[in-house]
Amino acid sequence: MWELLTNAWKGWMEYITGGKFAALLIAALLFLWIFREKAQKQLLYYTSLMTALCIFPVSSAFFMKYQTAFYDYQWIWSLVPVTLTIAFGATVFLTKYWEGYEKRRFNKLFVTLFVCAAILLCGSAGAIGWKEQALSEKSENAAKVLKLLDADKEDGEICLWAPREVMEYARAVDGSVKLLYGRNMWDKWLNAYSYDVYKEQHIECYLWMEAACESGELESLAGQEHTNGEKLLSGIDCARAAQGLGVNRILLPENMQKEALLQIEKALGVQARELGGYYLLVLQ
Amino acid sequence: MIFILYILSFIAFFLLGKAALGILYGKTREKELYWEDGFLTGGILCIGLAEAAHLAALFLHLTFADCVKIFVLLLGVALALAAVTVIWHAGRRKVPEGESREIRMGFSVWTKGERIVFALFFLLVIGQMIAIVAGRFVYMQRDMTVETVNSFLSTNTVYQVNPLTGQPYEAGMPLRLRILCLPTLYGILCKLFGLSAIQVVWTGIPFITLILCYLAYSLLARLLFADSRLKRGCFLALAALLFMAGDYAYGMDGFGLLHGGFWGVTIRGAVLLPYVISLVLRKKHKLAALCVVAEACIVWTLYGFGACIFVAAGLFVTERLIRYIKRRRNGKEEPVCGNS
Repeated sequence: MWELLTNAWKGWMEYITGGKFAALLIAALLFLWIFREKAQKQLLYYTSLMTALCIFPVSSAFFMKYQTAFYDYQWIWSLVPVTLTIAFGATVFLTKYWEGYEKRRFNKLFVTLFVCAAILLCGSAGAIGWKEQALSEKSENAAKVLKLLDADKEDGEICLWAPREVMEYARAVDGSVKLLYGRNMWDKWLNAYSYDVYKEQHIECYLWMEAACESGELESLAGQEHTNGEKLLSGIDCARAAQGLGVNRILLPENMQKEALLQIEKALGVQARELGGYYLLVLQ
Repeated sequence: MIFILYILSFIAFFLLGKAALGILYGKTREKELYWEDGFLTGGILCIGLAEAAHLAALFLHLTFADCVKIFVLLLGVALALAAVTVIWHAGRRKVPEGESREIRMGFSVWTKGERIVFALFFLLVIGQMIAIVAGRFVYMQRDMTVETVNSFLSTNTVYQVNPLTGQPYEAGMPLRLRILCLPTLYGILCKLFGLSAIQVVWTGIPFITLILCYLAYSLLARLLFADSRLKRGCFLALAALLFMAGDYAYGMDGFGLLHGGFWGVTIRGAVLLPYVISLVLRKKHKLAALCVVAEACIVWTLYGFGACIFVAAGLFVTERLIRYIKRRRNGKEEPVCGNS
């Protein structure tokens, strides 16, 4: 119970850290309470009560339980018409002001711009909410590599093990490609969609590939947070394990060291070739 | 093809919605029901049809191609019935003598201020539409809809393989998630219009969600500012601005609308909830019940309970409480809500 309450309070603190829409909501509610009109009482009372309940940890913990553990704290704010109330309050404020200053255009314009600026500054001011490379660029790169792989395919299906940037979009652009592991390996939220869990071999393959993309070395040290104790991961072992798990195409990063690549080729008995900025190993 | 998808979707929504309103409210449908209600109700009915086809495929172990056939059949029958109902109601409707089309439809001369606020609103909405159609700002984390749709299309089955790897499930996935119909609906649209999962999920559906969202807000604007078109325009323009500014964090209304319009939670937050609020304030409880059911089809709720029923019940109880308090104070009952 204590943990749930702590999560609720932490959730509220996070909710007000990114932007200030909660402050805007409270300002809009205050304004509507002062200048309330008979017709909108029902909405105003409901929103005020729900806002208070979503802030108060005990009631917000109850709402978190109600919406199931699948969703985080921020989703309890679905129960509060935030955008509606802010827009409503701002409209009443602006139109009251416009009516009061019928002839003074400059004043009207100034106050309107002030309200718009306040809204933008309380939010993201037009910038997107997270910093990432343009999605279409990423998926186009993945699609390009997959197209080359597809042309290379002789018969049967492809089961791929590749760096994250290819794996991440492979299933989005082509549903026929199978993967050694999916996006839920690094996007832990996705594990809620399935009861399946990865074996230790899958995790080791992922960790080795991540390390290889950075250093290009044959061996890497996996931290205790990922495996049972500190472990030296070998590219050869991981490639063999992947083959055992059904992988028939391995893409290695371009920065792979020549010596390391030669050892993997020798161990698997195949010849690597360059493909779209990667080394491709076709396994039997 | 994507434009044909938009056009046909809205035609289907309008036909289905208009017929449903006619059936649910009969002769009284003209009272406080607007053209926006038609589109929104039609959208909700399409979710219902997709859920029926999805559950049939899931529990009868049908192929995805069969699921598409069931949906097309259901939609065809529904549209035929809708067309008949609309024509029948149109024939029965009597227009009072001397009442012009302008008065009936609520048209009047637009003032300069009204033109400015509506122009601003449409500019903001067009900007948002362009951002969505460009498909560059989709938030992929925590969601696997596009992979799920691709897995349905490539295996011709429903939830037989893990969408993230393409490998068969070992332990499976929770039933409460499997019963949600949105991936099936998107997959059906891919099949019918020959579009890729990325086109439908990342650009097609968010565009439709955006329009439905503004239709729901337009109804709220009509309700809150029944007397002034200027205020309605101002309200809509500010709502559009709030969506743009409010995309700073995952879970915000604007974030879902602009970066994840295909999520069930976005359709709930941006379309169903504003619509439910407008319906409860107008006392259209039958339509509000439809929204509650639609939510259960698209979002993992607590065994059928969800945000829509909570908000509807909350508003209903608030109204009763206000009435009770008033009655205690004045010794008589007064109407307190909306324009009713």
